[in-house]
Amino acid sequence: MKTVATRSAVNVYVALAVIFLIGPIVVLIGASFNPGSGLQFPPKGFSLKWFEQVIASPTYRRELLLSLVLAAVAATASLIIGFLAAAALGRSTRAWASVLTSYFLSPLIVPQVVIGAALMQYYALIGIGGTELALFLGHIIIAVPYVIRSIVGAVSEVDPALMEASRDLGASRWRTVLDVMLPIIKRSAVGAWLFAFVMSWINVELSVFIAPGDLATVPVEIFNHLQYSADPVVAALSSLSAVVALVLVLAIDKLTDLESMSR
Amino acid sequence: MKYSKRGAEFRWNATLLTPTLVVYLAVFVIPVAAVVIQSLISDNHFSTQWYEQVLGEDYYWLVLGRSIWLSLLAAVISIIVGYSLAYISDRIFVSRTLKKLVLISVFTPLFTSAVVRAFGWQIVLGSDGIINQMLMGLGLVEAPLRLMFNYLGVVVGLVHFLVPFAFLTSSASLQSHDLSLVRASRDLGGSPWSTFWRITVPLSRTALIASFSINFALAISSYVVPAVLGGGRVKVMAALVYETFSIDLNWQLGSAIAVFVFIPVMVVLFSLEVLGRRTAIPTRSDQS
Repeated sequence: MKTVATRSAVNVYVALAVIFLIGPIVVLIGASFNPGSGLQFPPKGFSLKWFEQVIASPTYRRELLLSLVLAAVAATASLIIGFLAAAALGRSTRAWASVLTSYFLSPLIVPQVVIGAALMQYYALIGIGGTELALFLGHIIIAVPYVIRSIVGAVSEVDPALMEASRDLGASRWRTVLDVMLPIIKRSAVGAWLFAFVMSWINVELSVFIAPGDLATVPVEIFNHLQYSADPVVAALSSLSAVVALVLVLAIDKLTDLESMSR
Repeated sequence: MKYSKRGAEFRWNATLLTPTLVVYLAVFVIPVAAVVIQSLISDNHFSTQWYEQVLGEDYYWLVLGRSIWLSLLAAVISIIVGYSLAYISDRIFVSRTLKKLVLISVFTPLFTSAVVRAFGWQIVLGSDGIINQMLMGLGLVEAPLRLMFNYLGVVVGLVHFLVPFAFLTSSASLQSHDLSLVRASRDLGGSPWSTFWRITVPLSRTALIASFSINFALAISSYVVPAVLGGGRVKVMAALVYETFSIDLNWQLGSAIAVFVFIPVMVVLFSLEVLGRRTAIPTRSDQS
């Protein structure tokens, strides 16, 4: 098995897989530096003018800001909502806990198209259609399952003796959860926040349905653009979006073990 | 005031869970139920007209069949790639740097918006994209190959979308295996190949089943990738939902089609759950 030939074959396979996985993103980022108006990779020169155009455009600036703020706020809200649930679910191994956990994770398997269609109609019905609030709520329902999935594991690993000790010493239940449990799972919580942030930042399939008409998020703007033409300015915008992703991958890696983000 | 411990425990858990339950009710359960209800309404009274329309027109059957077929294909390919990558990273690679490289390559697409990834593929697969450039530069073809705005482009895009998920599920599973079983197989004379097929893969059975159903669900729900890389020629069910809502503005028909996107997901999940249960192999962890 460890022959040179097999070794090389394995390495070539992995190299191809890696190229497959990150190639399109690298190509997109590279093409947005191309001075010409066609989307070329490799780029025929180096120019920042498309990025300048993105920054110069008030619409794109507003959309970048909206996406950033939305992601941060949605991640925070999702962390709070998800943590509270996980604090209950992670402490018990009984049947109700796993049933409820499955229930809370269920938005993950419902197609975003379906959720999007549902929310769009529902919002119209209750009169908040096309508002930032609508978008915010939609992103929460997308992100909370990920938060719960990340944190339940960490909560279940908290030594119950520590919690009992805290209660014995007179702390209220709230105090125990906030001052004992939360600090212990801090890394997991920050990782979950970052994950929720990314899920909101990149969300497109749901957002297309519920984004405000006049002010889209960055991915929605890119999608609408691609329906008609693919120009370098949109490529630059997309590159900015992708760079945020890369930065966050490295941030999460530094913080928690990337591996622990797997199922 | 209740002094019983169980009562207090229950009320505490209820307090913790209430905010989340309320949010889910308001933002998930009720809207999705409303969609189902909407699909059964026409002119303000109950009607199965929309379902009749979807079931009656050949066009919808064609699109549904195409969606299912594409999703199955993409799911299978993505699992082959994802599992093999996970296996190599976990069992063959020793260097932590290499393992980390693989992990970063897997997570980066995951954290990039689906639309951005699809856009990247447009540039790679386009007629003056890098693949065609290379093929023509090497003289292998005379005219650019049509690599996108067709089924090929959509499958490539979907597989690219799904591989990270397959990798993560496979990786988690492979790391939980009892390696003494693998060593025992080798000690007893098994080749690496036969050990792989007769020990490792069966031990991963649950994960493979879960991975397949999740990837199928993700693929059939996807409309951004088919829209961007299919260029209007490869319409899938999820894309039809979007169009029916945004272009036709027929919310009720759109809701009915949306339900049809959801049904294959449930069917696959359910049947694989049953299949998984029936063929479960007891592992060491079952005996804890």
